[in-house]
Amino acid sequence: MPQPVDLVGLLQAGIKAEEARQRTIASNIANLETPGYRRFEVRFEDLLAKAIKSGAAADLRDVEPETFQPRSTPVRSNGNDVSLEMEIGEMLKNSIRETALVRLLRKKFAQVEDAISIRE
Amino acid sequence: MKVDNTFGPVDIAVSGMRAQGQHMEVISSNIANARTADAGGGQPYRRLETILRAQTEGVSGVVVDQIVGDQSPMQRLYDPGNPQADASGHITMPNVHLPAEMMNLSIASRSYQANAALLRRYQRMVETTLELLR
Amino acid sequence: MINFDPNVRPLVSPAASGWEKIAPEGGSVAPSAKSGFLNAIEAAGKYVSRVDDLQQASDASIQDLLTGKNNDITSVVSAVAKADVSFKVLVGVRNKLIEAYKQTMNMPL
Repeated sequence: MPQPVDLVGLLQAGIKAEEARQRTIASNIANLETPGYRRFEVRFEDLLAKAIKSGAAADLRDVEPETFQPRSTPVRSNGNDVSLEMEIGEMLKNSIRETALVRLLRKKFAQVEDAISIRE
Repeated sequence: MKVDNTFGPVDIAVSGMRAQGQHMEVISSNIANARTADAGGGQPYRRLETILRAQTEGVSGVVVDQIVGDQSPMQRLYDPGNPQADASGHITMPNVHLPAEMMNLSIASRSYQANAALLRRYQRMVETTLELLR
Repeated sequence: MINFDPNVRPLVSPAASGWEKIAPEGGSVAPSAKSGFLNAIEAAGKYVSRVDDLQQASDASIQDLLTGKNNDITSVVSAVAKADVSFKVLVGVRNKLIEAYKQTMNMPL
C-alpha cells in the first residue's frame, strides 16, 4: 500500500478543527453587538495541505487548527464586523463537515471490525 | 465558484440574505426619514436606493454595489404656518413615498425568506446524503 | 458452489476481475477443467486487488476533503460507499470460503 498518510489521524485532526470552528462561531454570535469586535475564523485545511506537500509524514500529527481574525468583512459604525447571516451559513457548513467526518471515522473503525469479524 | 462545491449554495444563499438585510436597512432609513425636512445643510432627506450586483459571472452570489440617492424631485407642500416655509409658503419634503417603501419592504422581506428557505431545504438534502455513511 | 449475486457486478469491472469467467449471466458457477474451489480462490484473489483500488480511491477522496482540495461531499460519500460495499462482499466471500473448506475437511473418509 503506497499510502503513507494516517487517515484515521487526519480525520481526528479534522474533527478537532471543526470543534474549534464551532467555538469561534459561538463567540462571533455572542459578540454580535460588541463594539470593536472583529469576527474570528479557523484555518486548518490549508495548513494540512501544506504539511502533506512538504512530505514529512511525522509532521502531520502536529498540524493544529489556528484561530485568527480575517478582518475581511465590512465594519459597521460601532467597529463590529459580524453578520448574523454569515455566521449562520458558517454554522451550517461546520455542522455538515463535522457530521461527515465523524461518520467517516466510524466507518474506518467499522471496516477493521468487519475484517476481524467481531461485528454481528 | 465551481459548481461541484457542496458549500456553494450555502454561500450564495447567505450572500442573498446579507444583501436583502442591507436593502431593508436602506428602506427603514427612508421610512424613518420620510418627513425629515432638514437632513443637514438645509436640504431635506433624499431617498436612498440600493443597487445590487452579482459577485461573478454565471453562478454567483449577490452583493450590494452601491447605495445612491434617488434623483427624482422633492415634494413641495403648501404649509405657510410652518417655521421652515419659504417666501411663497412652501416647504420641501423628502422624495419618499410611503406606499412605495412599504411595497419594497414586502419584496425585500420575501426575498430574504426565500433565501432562508433555500438554506433549510439544502441542509436537509445534504443530511440525506450523509445518511449514506451511517 | 458459490452463487455470485449479479447486483454486485457493477462493483467489479468486467475486464479486471476473474469473476466473469466463472460466474456468467445467472450467477451460478459453471464447471471447468480446474476444480471449482481453486477457481473460486483465484477469482477472490483478483477481486482483492479491485477492492484495494476502491479503498485507495476512497481514502484519497477523504484526504482531499480534509485538505480542502475537494469540497464535494457527495463524491466522497459515493467513493466511500462503493469501497465499503465491495469490502463487505469480500469479507463475506472469505467467510464462505473458510466455511466450505472446514466442511470439506470434516467429511468422513
